[in-house]
Amino acid sequence: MNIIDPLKMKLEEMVIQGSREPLSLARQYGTESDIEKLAEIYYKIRPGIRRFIYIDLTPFERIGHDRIMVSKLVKIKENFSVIPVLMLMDTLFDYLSNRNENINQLLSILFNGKGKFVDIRGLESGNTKIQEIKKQIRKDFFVNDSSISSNLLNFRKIISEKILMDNLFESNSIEIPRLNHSENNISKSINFGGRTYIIMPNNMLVSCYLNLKNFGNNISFLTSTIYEIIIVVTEYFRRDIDVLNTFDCFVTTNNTALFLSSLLQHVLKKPLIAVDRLGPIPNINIHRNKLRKQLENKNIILIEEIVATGNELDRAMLFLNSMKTSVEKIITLYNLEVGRPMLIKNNQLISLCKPKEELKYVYRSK
Amino acid sequence: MSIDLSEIKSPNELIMWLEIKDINLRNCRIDYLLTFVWSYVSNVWENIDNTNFTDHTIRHSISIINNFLKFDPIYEWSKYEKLIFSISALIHDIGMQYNVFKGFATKVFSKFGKDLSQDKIRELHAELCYYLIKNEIELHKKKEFPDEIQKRNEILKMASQIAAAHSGKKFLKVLASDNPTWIEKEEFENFYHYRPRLLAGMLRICDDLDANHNRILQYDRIKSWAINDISKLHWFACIFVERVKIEIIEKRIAIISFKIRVPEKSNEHQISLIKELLKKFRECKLLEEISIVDEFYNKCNEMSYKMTYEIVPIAKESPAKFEFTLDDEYTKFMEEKVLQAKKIRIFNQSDIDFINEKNKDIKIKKIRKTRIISTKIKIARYKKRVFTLHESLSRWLDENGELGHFELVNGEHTNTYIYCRTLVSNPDLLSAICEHIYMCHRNHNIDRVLAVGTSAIPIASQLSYRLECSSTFTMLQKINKDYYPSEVYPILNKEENLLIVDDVISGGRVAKQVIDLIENEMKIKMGDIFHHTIFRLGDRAYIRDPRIRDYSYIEEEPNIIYASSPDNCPLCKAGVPIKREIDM
Repeated sequence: MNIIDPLKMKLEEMVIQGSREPLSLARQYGTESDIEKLAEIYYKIRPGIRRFIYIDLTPFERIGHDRIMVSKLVKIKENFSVIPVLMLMDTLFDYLSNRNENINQLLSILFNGKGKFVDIRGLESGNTKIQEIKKQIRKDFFVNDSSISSNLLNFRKIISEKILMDNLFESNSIEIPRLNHSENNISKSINFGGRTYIIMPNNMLVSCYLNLKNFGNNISFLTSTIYEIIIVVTEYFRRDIDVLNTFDCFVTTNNTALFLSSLLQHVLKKPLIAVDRLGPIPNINIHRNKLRKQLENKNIILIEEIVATGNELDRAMLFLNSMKTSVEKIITLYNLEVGRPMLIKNNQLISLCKPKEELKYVYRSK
Repeated sequence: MSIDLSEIKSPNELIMWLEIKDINLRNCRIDYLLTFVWSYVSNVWENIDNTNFTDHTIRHSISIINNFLKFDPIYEWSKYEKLIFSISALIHDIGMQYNVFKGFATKVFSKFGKDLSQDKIRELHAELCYYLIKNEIELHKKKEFPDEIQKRNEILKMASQIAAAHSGKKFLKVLASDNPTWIEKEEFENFYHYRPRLLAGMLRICDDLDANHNRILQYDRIKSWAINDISKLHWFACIFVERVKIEIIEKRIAIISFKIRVPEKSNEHQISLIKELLKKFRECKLLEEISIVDEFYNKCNEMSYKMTYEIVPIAKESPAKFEFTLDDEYTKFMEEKVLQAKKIRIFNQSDIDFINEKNKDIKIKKIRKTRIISTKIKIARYKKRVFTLHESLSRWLDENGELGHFELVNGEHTNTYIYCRTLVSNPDLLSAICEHIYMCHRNHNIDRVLAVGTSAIPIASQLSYRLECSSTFTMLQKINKDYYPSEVYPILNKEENLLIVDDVISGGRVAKQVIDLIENEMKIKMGDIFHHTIFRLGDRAYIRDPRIRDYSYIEEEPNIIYASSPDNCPLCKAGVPIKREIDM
């Protein structure tokens, strides 16, 4: 499944430029250079078996230079033979179709303010190839599943999973145990039961170790991580409620999570509070008063980078509860599913990527 | 004369409507001039990228011109004034799309910066318009250009000054600083008679008068949180206005009335909220605009025009209804923003003082107290003070510094413990710190930013974007009763220029340890090393390596006691109980 996220590209550009309101500016999409970049990226993607590419324009409510953009995409479609499929809010489509007759030469998927699928428009001919694509789109967006409240969010979950999985591999963040470990492989390893494991500081064995600090090697990994979190926090920019007013701040409980998500506060203008030293025996004495001042009676979103056994999450929940903090959501980038946190409510934990099966991850004692 | 404004679709139609076809501009044709302006402006509005404002397109400009013409019985506009005003009205809001300009407007960018935020653009748009037009004029300023272009530039300059005055303080410059030379000019060149102050004031008034539902292109977007609160209020202040009627009686009285409309299922409370909103954000603003323009204008000229205003209260009769749902969320928004808001003020006391001063200069009578101006509406809007980074940090330190007697992890003593974790929970302050560090190191070819300790992590992460480089962090770990930085991971793999970011420096031991760790233990050769901290407490005794370039933002803070060891600590000598950072 190929997808272009113009908002993500623009957001990164805005942050690099030092914009004070990067998300707000990024959502004002449609400068000439935006459209040039979109076309450039489009040509770079290898479509594979699928002969279409999704362009996610749903975060935008208006688009600048829309006539230029539509005519450019029509031109691309004719020259490149890979069909651009626009994902749009229905209201934006109405606006665009009033201004651009050409938009019917592209495929557009429409959603309402809650992210519910509305319709597929454009390319109405009886072409079997087009029919096939439309069928595939309906499948991708679970159109026939009436139990789904937001087709957009469900589709995005699959995309998030894929992007975060790709990030793990591309950033070399998966540390695989080797018996003759090199200088670069600083963890101790052991061969046990026919498989090599890394010995963790608590003497437990893991089949591989996710070192997410490596995301810092390239800002594009950080951007895509932040972007996936933003999507969940804003419930995919849903229009029917002001999601950002439902919580006061973000909290992280370890330094890697802080490192990965620190840009969130700059982008969403919500404070990010770093709590650490929550190890098995919390050691935060004087800091407790400062933290209480920051956290007491606040609605927060907890950001975790990895959940494995769930113990760390439980400790965080205990601490936050003692601070009289209400945890609205817990967002974890990777859930290794080797245990389950016991103190969280149903649906409170949102796991963006569950790599256990793909990594054949094992966490065990000797 | 009633006309369908949607029919004005070209510069020629505008010329016919304004009846200025026979205007004599000497060597410049009127159609050439207006075609140039029209196509320049159309190009901006055809390809907008900032979509969060109300409609500011040519349609809006035409409505303004229409309002302007309605005042003709009072002011008897000359053809030249109609032309200048029309051009001002066409260009006055192009600054709203400032971000779309590029390339040729580099001079303006260097003055204001690129990609301004919504709020900034709203605040500066009149000024931006002026500079964008000025830039355009300068591009065609050379002597070898034909006379037609020279004349065009001259008219554009006048129009841009009037457009610059349509919002903000620039208004005062045109209104108060310009000498009323037009009277003298009139004697020599009757055709070129124009009243810049009056035109500037009228542009402000006519702009306000065009605040109705036609300015909202997509109703559904009012729900969007991408539109900030100020813009939302503007949207609301337009959406409920059905029309604004201007009626001129006896060639001297302008009666302005609003007709409002309310969502079909609105209750009494919501209707009263809508009325309150329009009263505060439309009527009061308009009144103030009218009164100050009128007061000043009447005293600045020797013409015999008189103008009296009678603002008809917002219609009490059953308002027009329309399909729009004012749900609980937006009722709450209006309650918060409208009921708590004081009446909108455009000018503060210093502005009025400035005008009064100018009035004295040109020997004008004192402003009458009976009018609606400053005396009746007390102008006391507090301007939000903008603090410098240094001031912000000092204020933050006052609120967050813990007083006592502390032993830091490196064994040094101080009376102030700076709890920097709260610093990084402040998005605006954090961004300002990062921007400062970026400005210091943008030319140093930094390959990697290394954060030391939790507080520095968000700074390193944000800086890596600005410097377009990698980032990582290290923590202090306990080894044999002493604290050392943990491994620097991912391992530096080439001769990199490193920027070490820390929150507080005293002796500089941690920085030295980090460098020792990388060079001696990890055997990695580094390029240039820059060490940047926010606060400096001590003497940086450990950093003596000439390769390390050290930067601290706040160098000296009075009232902070620092001692490199217990032996020379005045607090130890005074017997103040000690707290160890490590136990905190």
